[in-house]
Amino acid sequence: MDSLSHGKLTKLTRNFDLSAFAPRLNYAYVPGGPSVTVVDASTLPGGTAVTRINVEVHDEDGNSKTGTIAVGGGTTGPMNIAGLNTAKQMRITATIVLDNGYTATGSIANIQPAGGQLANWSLRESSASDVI
Amino acid sequence: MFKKIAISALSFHLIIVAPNFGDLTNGTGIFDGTLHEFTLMDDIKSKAPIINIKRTRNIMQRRDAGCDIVYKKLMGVDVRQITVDDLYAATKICKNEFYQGALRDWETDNDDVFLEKIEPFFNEANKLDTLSNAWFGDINRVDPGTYTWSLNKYDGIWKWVATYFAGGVIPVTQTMAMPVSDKRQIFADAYNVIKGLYDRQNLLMRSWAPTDKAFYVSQDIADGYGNYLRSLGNGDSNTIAMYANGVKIREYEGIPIIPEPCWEPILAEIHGAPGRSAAMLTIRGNMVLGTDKEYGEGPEKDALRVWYDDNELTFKYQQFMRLGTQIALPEHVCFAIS
Repeated sequence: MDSLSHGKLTKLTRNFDLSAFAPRLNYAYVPGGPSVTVVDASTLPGGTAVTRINVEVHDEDGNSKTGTIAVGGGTTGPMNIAGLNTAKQMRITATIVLDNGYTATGSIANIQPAGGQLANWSLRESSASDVI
Repeated sequence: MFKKIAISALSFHLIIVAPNFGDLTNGTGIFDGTLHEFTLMDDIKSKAPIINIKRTRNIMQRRDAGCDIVYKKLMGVDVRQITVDDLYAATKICKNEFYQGALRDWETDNDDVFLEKIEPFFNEANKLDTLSNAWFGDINRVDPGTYTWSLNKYDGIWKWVATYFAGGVIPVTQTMAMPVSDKRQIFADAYNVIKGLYDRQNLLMRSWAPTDKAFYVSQDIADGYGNYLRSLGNGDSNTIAMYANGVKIREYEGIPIIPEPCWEPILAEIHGAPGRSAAMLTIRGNMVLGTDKEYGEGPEKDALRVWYDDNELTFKYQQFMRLGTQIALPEHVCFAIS
């Protein structure tokens, strides 16, 4: 919890206002698979498109499985997470890369079969968003 | 017995990060790769400009009979931006979970065999991850889950080379095709790459002195070039430096050929097969690594935090870094990569 309500400031970077970029990744966890599926539902600034979304599912023992989404609105498909320790908490981390250089990195801890979405988004702009 | 330690960000930068960039001019230091060839910018919070001051010429005028003097511009400025990404690494150990079975005998007597290796191995892992991403990092790269090298945590130099090549900043005339072959056996391929990159320099690049430039090559090209020289009966006469651990720096036309040992295994992992190589001819110091020597987390903004968590009965290690790369003068890069 932050004592200062600073939501409007966190999307400003030195050169850009990233407030038009609202990352959203929904996940579904099937313990019987066991599999995790992540679907992109982000809102992008006008004129931009998703280049890549790299997803990782981690367990408490330090193992990870990877998946990827290649287009906006796409899905990883069911990621087979056999080999992860499903008896302990698992966490999903993901990085969204847009074609204008914006990136967003987020995560969700303690994934549940009911599903949910990723949070804790860190928005950045990279040098690639400058005109060469 | 086990104290909590916290290393402030600045001392972490000087002790662990900065010596990776130490100068090897005395010739007797340990050669451990090309991380020291990067120019270090160490106070970047998120983004910083690299200012390229360009000289112009052609300012001479013929004198006329009047009193007006024509003044010309002497310098121009290009600005490139380097951004850094926030990164962290963490590991932990629960001694009770670890010392089970036969390992129970080790718990009280030989704890240092395992426990005291964690911190140096942790630092080494971070250094290797810094190096592999500094060259081949690409945040768009898909990790199939089998990679042993860290390759998609922040953008590295080869991604910038591809970006500048696609944008026309590096002209096609400065590149050549890299043959896919075992360059240690077909060593003419290795020689042709080195000669080819040298021949493809632009006019301005030729004005730099040979020791101000360098070839950065994967190990198979360096070895193949040595085999090529030996096959001609020249021995290894082009060796200009030999480090205490046996690494040879050869030369071509006075320009040092510096092998980067991690390139060959990384390229083999990316392509799933050996025989892939990379070579670059550029100005030394052209590659820039950005970091923030004051970045850390926790109440004291520490970069490396090691402590014992009573709640979980585990030793925890956390390391926080900001890293990013850029090429200062991309127009002066000749490259070949397969």
